[in-house]
Amino acid sequence: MLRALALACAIAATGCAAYQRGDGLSPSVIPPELQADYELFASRCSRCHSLARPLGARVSSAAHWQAYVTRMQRQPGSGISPDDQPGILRFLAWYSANRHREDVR
Amino acid sequence: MRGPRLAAMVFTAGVFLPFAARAVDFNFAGTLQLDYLFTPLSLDRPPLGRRPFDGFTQELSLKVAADLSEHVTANVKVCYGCHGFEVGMAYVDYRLGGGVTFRAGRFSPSFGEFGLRHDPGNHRLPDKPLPYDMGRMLHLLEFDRSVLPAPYVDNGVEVLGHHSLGRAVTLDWAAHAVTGLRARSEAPYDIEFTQSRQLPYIDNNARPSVGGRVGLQFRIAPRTDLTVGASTLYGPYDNNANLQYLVAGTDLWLRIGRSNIRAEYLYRRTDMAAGDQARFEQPLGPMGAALPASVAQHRDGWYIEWEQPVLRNLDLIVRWDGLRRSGNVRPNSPLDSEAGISRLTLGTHLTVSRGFRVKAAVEHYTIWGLREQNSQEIAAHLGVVATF
Repeated sequence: MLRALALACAIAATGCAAYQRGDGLSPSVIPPELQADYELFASRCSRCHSLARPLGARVSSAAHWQAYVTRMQRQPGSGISPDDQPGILRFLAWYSANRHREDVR
Repeated sequence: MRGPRLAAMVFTAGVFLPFAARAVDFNFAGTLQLDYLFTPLSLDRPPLGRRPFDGFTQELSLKVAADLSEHVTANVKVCYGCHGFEVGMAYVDYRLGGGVTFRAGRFSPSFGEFGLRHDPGNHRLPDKPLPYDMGRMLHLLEFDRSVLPAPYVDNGVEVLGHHSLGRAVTLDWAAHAVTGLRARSEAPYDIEFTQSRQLPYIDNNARPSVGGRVGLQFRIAPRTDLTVGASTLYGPYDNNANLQYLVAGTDLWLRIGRSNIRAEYLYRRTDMAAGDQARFEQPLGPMGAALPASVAQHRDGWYIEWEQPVLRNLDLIVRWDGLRRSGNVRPNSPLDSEAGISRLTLGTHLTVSRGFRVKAAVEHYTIWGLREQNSQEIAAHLGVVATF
């Protein structure tokens, strides 16, 4: 058991040291006017899954994002209210336009 | 071969049918988890010779969601795991006005909080909480599985509602009628969960099961949310629709900043076919009295889980969960009439790169009511998960 625990800790430490990168975006790459929208997105969209899900989704059009977020909002217990939608969609529109950038990707 | 063939047909239809329509937005997603469960130590006795679940398990899911119009979405999900290929989703949502959605097909009926996160890409520890365990808990066969193995997938219809009650409160509700859990044996002791997941996906007793969930979410502060909910399932499960099950649960989720605290309690009452004293170890009734046609067994389970981010890419998770069974047992049962498990888990969740994570956990089991077995055991998990 101790060997398994040591192995797990070693992997975790190595990984942390090598990659200081989570599923989300670094706040430094997000324009100041969208920081609050990103915080809203990160908070609401990580309750049931990691942020890798929406950030990895091959969605680009505003209409498709609208349908995507509406579908998620109506999942029971999603925690996304109608008031949250505009901010989340503003961030996703910016992300779609900038996802090709190295610092965003 | 029917399972893989049907799964391939459903998945192919899910992938290619959207192309046949105009202006369809579709989204493809998937998860792959490979986990090694290591059971190295018994704290009381030497390790047992038979450890069927010491080894790799793999779970794969592939999902397509097609937004056919502003109001209609079709979802198809195929899973591959220990039971082979299964259809995890094949349903259509029709979104009505006023936050109401009508769902029909094969889906997971709304129940509890963990149901939303049952996919291994969506929960932080390598395995599921004990009340939802589907095969990786120690002594699985002796306990004859958990309260409600997740995911519970069934055929039927569901109506869901999502309503804002002011700016700080949201109400979610769902009501469903589905085929129901089942057992194909003539005189079952319990629901046969493996049977419930196998083809053909048709009812064994022509009587639906019903259930639902109600949840309230409170936005306490900009970065603080609280959700409380209650769920239930009820229906017959044997071929003659004489034996019933009732599952009830309550759930709580609290987020403060990036910290998450989740808790659930589940209870299941299940009728066992009686009428024959030879099938049970303890007396079914007073001497000389007519034997009852059924007797009940009770199971309950719980978990409390704390997820704490410590770095941008590393979470620590602590979980305490448990499972108990009480009721008459069959002759030579490995269990006493009162038996249970309490488990403490310490785990980490490391994001190596977006969509690729390493999960590790150590679990300490305390077991009671298991005859001639260890009372304390240790297990460890190490796995990788990719979401795409």
